[in-house]
Amino acid sequence: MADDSSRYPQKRRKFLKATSVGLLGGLAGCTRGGSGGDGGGGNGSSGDGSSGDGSSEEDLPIPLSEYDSADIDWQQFEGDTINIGAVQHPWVSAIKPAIPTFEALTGIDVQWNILPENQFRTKRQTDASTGAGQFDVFFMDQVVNQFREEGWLQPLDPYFNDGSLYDESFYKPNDLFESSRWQAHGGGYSDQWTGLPITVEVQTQFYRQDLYDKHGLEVAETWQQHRENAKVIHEEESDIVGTAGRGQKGYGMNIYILNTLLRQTGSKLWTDFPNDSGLDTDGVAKAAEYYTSLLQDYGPDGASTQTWSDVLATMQEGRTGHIVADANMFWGGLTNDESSVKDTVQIAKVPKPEGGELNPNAFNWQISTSTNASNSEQAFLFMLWATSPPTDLWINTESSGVFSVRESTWENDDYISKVGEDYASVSLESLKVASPDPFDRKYPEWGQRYSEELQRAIAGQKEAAKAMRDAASAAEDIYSG
Amino acid sequence: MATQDVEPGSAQRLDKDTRETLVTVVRHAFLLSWSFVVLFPLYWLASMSLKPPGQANSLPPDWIFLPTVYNYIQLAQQSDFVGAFVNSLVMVGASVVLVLLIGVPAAYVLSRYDIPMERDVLVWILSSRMLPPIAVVLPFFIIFRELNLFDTRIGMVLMYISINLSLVVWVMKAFFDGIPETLEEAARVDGATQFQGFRKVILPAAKPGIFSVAIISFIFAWIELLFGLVLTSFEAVPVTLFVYSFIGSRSIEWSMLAAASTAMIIPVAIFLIAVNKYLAAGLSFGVVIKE
Repeated sequence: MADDSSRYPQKRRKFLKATSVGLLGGLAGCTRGGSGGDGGGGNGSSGDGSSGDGSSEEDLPIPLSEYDSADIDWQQFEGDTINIGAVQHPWVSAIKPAIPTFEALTGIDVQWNILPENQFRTKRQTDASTGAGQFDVFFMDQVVNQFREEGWLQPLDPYFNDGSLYDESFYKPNDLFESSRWQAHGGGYSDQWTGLPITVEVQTQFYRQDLYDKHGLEVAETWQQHRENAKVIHEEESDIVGTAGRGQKGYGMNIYILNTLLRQTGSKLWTDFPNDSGLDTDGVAKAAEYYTSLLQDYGPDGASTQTWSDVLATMQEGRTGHIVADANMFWGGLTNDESSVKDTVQIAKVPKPEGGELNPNAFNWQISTSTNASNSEQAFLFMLWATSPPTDLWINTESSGVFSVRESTWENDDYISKVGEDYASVSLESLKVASPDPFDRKYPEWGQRYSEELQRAIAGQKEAAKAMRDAASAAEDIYSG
Repeated sequence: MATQDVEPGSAQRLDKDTRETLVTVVRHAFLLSWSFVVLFPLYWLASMSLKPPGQANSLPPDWIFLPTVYNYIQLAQQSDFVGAFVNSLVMVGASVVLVLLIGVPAAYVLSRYDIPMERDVLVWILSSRMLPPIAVVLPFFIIFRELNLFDTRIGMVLMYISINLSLVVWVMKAFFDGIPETLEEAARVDGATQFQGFRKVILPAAKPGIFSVAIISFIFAWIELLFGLVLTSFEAVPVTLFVYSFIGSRSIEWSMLAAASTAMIIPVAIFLIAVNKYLAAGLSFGVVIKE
């Protein structure tokens, strides 16, 4: 016992000492910029970890001379810092190595906060809805009009009208695809720029040349041919389904494909906004019937739960004859070393109805600035630089990008030789006539319901026409309620 | 034909030693199988982290491969990861110390003294855990911004304390309830004050419970994601967010994700090993027989 009692004080002292150390350590970071350095989670680092400070011009990925022609006062915010909220997206990986150029050009430091898509959306919503304004620049998608109408997004037109921030002859806005510009104007719901487009994904068709050759199939130009090709492969091949497509619910999932089909049949979403969704028209019912029966008859088991990544995996593993999917999202995955169809996969334009028009769906990520951002002018300079012709070209030729929003980049020889002529020409032709979805302010809400109804139809739980009628009611109720 | 004298029923009965051996074999076989079930995910995670990128999620899986620490080197070279890891260690460590300093005495008082409306107080303490985190994260965000606690380590320490305090108080109260008051009375007979009785008699007896709630609090705070996501941006980012950053829009960096996740397990494992001897007793709290 005596031993024990003499040991306790020592132990207690050790405990108190450890506690003090822990507390001191814990409290050391009570102010911002504690010893933890530059944060984490893909956050906080400036560019790719290197700073513009001290970089000589020869070391910069993009020479500053590329921006000489711009009549813009690049250095007017020297010494400031901007915070960028971004999705963990290939565009971020592609542009990060070029950030030292921006920092050297402007003297503005860049801080990134990069998160997976869902987590980013939570953070963005929190930031915008509370007026916190922690991000000067952030990724924006289908919720653009919701954010705009809530007053959370700052229109960029005042900055476009500021001679010290913008030079039209340098920026060449008309070089941006028309559909990208349209989507950056809230998909037609805004007459002002809501952000600047950074990437575009356009729908194309991918098919296996070996199977087409084997069965003497022609690349489908019409949806009817597309179905017939699927039928042949489905019936003639074992372990290979005729086609695969997005069946999963979600406003970026199954309806992203169906919307192309319905537009091609002459239908449109919201024939009378916000009173008539147009989802109960014959054209929509016909399109839905085509898509659901295609997947039911010639798609994989569980087609109603297939996401875009399942579709990619099915094609990559050689388990389907063809798919309709986003070109730049899929091309890399289908042609890399891990793809079992890398030597045989081919790309073609999306089919269209007999006598119909080619107008594939497309989706743009854009970057925007919020009403509460404290560095919006600096943010605009960044957005302008990031989407300017020299930066866009560098991202897509020297870096890992394959998703340019600029026509000139798609026509650039270096870019064509990097991505391949077929991919470049099919994508470019499709992008020129692309018809993206208009994301009205409640699109995420009614789009979700619409996609759920379509999923039920694909799963065989409802007739397609009935599902679309129910989707129409749901969409109209959301606006009337 | 010669016949042997066989005791009736002896063919069906095994002798005691054989039966015990059989029981032991069956028990060990079961435990081994169960260990396999429990440990396989950890093995899988660790093995993925030791495979080169591209091989981590290959199908069929490569059961035999040349291990590489490439992913760990990549991880260690990322200052963001090191920063986030240190952030988490500091914030979670400080929060555990503080939550024990607050919660253990509170639990003792609730256990030993007649507190008016004691049950209400206990339920009130527990009520902090009754709402789903997503329901309270926005108010917390606004409060943190108003108090300049947003994106600070001290803010996250307070957040973790609020997450774990009710757990510490409830568990430790039950633990103190199980320690006979006669121990303190004996100390008081020897001249100890109430506080000395608490410090010198009750706390040592409560060590298993304290270490148990410490490790549980540590784990809860260590793996917390939602509050870290919303309440930090650059400076106080916890390591859980960094691990998430390997999940991209178009792909998942499986080997790096596995390496970061494995690295995240290490502090928990060290803590567990360090307090292991107290845990068994701690986890059976409340079974002390009162005299």
